[in-house]
Amino acid sequence: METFQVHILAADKTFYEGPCVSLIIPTSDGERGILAHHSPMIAAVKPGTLRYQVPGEKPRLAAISPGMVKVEHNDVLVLVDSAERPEEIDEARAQREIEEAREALLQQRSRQEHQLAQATLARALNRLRVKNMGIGR
Amino acid sequence: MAGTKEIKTRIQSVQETKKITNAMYLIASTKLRRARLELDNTRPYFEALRGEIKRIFRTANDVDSRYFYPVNDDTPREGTYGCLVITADKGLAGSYNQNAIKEAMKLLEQHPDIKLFVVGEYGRRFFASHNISIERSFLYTAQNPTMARAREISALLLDGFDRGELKEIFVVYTDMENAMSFQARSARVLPFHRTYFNTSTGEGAATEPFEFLPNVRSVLDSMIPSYVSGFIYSALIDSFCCEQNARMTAMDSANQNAEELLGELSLKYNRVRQSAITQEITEVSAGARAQRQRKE
Repeated sequence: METFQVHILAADKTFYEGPCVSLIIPTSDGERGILAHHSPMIAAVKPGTLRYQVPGEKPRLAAISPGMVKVEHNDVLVLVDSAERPEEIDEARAQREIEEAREALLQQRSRQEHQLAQATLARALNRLRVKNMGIGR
Repeated sequence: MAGTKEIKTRIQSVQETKKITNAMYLIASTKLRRARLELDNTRPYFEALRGEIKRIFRTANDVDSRYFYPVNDDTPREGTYGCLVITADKGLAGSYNQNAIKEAMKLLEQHPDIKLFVVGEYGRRFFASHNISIERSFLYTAQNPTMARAREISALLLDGFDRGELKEIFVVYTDMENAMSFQARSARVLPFHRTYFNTSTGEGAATEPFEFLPNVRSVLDSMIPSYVSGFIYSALIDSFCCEQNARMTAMDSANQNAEELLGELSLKYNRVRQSAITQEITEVSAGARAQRQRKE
């Protein structure tokens, strides 16, 4: 398989940098797979599961937050607010966050707080989903 | 001349103060090390994000978004501005707080219609005591800058911007130029200006046209909030580093002053003690001589 370079940068750390065989990323109009020699593209990334395969290894998973992905010259740049591996995710914490966010959503508060709670809920749900997928395989 | 007892108490109090300043120095230096590590971790992300926005400008020059100035228009917008001022929670950090506040006051003089968002207790108290109204203040953020906090702040600012309440958004923070010098700065975060991005060259122009999915506008719309929260996060951390650095320098000079003062005081103390002993001896020998003379 041909490979391409991928740089996954999260706001607080460099998540992964190196060769990659295939990358599947959730964008605003559905999941998008990227293989070597993909045409140049910039897309908005939605919170969800990122799957990427390092040559000679099993596909890896990561829970990601919104951001963007850029493909150019066989070089993929993924910029997201946060990226976490399943083993890094604290299930209990994610569960607690979900509950807190649900509670915040139930209270009739300002629009801005509502949006914030919704974003937190989406992030926490996504983390939990990735965690369960990581255990399932 | 002060008595030995007074000088002794003075020496003790100076020593105790020195212990405190020394402890603060050590704490600041460990905090600085930690914060610098965090700053190094965020740098690549933030610089890449900034670079990409720059690239989008160049490839799609005609894109129209509420986050940008119209093409070839550089007049400041009318209306209320929003300004995030980052200060420390505590003083004792040299001129760090004063410089940040001075920078904010400069902005206020140019454009009085500003809503202030203040990070840090020091800034909050300053504006409250000068009867300048604060839109919102964030406590506990200055000591522990996290991505979640930055997201919260940027959500608040962007919400005001999206509703049209805030026409422009500024951030006043302290930038660390190198290990020894830092400077308070004010930066405009929104709306973006094309030339502001274009002037700083560095990478070659885009060679191939990009395919934007689903379109340029929604890509930008999803990038801008990340950019703003990233900018605020790095501004928070940058300011935190400067605060610790300023405190380290201030405490270091306090330590040196204490050292000097102690030297002077112990010299004085020895002199006083010596003169007291001399006096006592003179008195004893004079008394003895007087007694002898009377006997004879």
